[in-house]
Amino acid sequence: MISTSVNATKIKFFAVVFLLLLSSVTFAQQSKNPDLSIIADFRTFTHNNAALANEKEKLNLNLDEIEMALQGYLNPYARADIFLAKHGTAGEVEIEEAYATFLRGLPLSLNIRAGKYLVDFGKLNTLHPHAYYFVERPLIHRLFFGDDGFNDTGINLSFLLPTGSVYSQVSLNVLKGDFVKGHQHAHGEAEQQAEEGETEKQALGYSGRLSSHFQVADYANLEFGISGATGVYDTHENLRLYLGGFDVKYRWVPSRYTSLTFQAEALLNQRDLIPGAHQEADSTGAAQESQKESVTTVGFFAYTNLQFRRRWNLGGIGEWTQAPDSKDEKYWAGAVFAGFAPMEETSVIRLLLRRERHPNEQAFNTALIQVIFSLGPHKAHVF
Amino acid sequence: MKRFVIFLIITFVMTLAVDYALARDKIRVVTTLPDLAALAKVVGGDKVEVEALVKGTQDPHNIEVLPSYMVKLRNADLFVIIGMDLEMWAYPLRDGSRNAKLVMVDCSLNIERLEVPTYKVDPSYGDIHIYGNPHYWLDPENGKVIMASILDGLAKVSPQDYDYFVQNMQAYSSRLDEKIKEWQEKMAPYRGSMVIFYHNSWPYFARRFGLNVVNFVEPKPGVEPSPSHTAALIRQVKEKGIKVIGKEPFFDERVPKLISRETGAKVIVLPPSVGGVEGVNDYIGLFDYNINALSEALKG
Repeated sequence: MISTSVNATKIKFFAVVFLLLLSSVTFAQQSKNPDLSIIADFRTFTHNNAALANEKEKLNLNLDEIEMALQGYLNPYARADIFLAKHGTAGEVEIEEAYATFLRGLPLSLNIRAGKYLVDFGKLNTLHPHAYYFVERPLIHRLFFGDDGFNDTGINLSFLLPTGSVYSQVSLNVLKGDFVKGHQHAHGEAEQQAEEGETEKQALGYSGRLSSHFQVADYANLEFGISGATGVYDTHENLRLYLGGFDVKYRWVPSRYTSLTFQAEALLNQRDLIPGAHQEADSTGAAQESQKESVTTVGFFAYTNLQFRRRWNLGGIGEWTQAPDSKDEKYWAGAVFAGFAPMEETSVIRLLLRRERHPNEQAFNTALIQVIFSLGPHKAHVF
Repeated sequence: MKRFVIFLIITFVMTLAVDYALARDKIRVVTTLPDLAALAKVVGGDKVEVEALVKGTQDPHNIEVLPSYMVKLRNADLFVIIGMDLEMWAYPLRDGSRNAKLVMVDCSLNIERLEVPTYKVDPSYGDIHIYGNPHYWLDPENGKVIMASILDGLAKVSPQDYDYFVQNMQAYSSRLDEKIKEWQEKMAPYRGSMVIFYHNSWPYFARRFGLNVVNFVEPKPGVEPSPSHTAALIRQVKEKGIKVIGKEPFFDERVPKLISRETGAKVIVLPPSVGGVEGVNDYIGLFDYNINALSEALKG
């Protein structure tokens, strides 16, 4: 009886979403080509990280990523954005993002996004890494979500709150739940499972964000956000995780030659664990059955960037985090960076000097030069 | 808990009611540039409330997509833009505003466009605008065309006030005609004078007032001046006896001043938009200021 009721609720939910989507796509048709952009990220680096012996203390050259973006309006009510990426020269082409956004024609100024996308958990996550001043995705993103950040397939509903001159947005996501595998993905377990032909049942994930943007002075803007997400990261053992986030971004742009940016994000993670499971799992990956317990860990990053000439910038980033499943495993990193953009975002050269420490490893240093070049239409910069 | 929920609902409804009441009071017009705002105020008169997103001291090519702008557009009835890809940032703002009723007016549609590329444009030419040079508001004759576009937009929002808007537009057009005559007379002695501008913002202005723009401080649109280009400019200014280098307020003054020191040419700040310098508060005032500054500099 309860099951029938739940199914009926699900059917109603999908019927409403389907009708909302249909109301947008059944209107005007256009057949213009989308905007096409290609962005390449080339890196040369050296480090003394003993864990990567084949690269250690060598001059490494790497085409880290090539990204292709196809973007355009589908009709007066909706647009589509598709980002394909190839990591390295040997990797496969991945769908980084592919989504449609229904912008107009929906009640209550609602926007709907459907597809695979970078989820708006925190402020930075939706930005592609080639736009980071500090080159590397922050530790908390890599550890908690994986190398591609908080990226999942799902449906996003967002609407604006009637808060006068303050821009406040509520965003809600129903997700396939891939993001919960981020930590395992970073450790290669997901690939191992795939190779062994294991298919694990997945549970839906959910996330939300409330953000408010204030214009604090003529040329200064401030944004605060809080985010939350939950999902089941082990359906076999029914192990759930909860993530909370707080972010702040301040940007002062008094002229086209000068700007100052400060951005910080903190993450609170609470997840079910089976004590000792991650150390004592047997060869099939199944944990010894015992009572669940909960672990709470935290992490943060903060950076500041100063653009002091039209083409030059410099700044620094500090990061500290505990591991997703252990308070005792602590990571930290600090870096200074400088950038030179000969012509806006069509070409950027960045220098990064970074020191990083992982649990049970020696701290290591990295020196890196990144060259970004892009073909295609320039997009306006979003705050 | 119940009281808290009731409080939230009342607050929400009151906010909507206040928003609605304000929206009905006057037609809310948001423009990208302050020049469009100045002309929208003229046409709309006391029926409109006008706000420009960009200040006259800002470079309209490079504006960040700020959520605070989206809030302004969310509450607007009419959004007026220059078009021709000057404000690439205007479309994400419109989308972000989620205002389904917003009427958007592109004032470039009826403009006689200059410098429309007849070759395959790519970034090796710098920031070339593929639809032509978009700084058309700097010809005061085009001010009348812009007002006609704004009139069309206002008439869509408030058709009952059409006659009132037409009356305002015609009165200002007559004033503009008189001023154009005055400005042309003032610039007549300097017809054909050679000038250098920092950025290619002035072809419409130069055509109207007979200036001969021989070069730019930027080697290509949007590209920072290089030492070799600056050296070539210094040679050119000396050889041709160029007296004036015009610079927008938001560009760096170091290179123009360097050229000035080496050659004796005078650097003058010419605001391309209303509010670009103190005291320039309306569209006619913008030309009064620039014509005075140029004629004084060319006289010297």
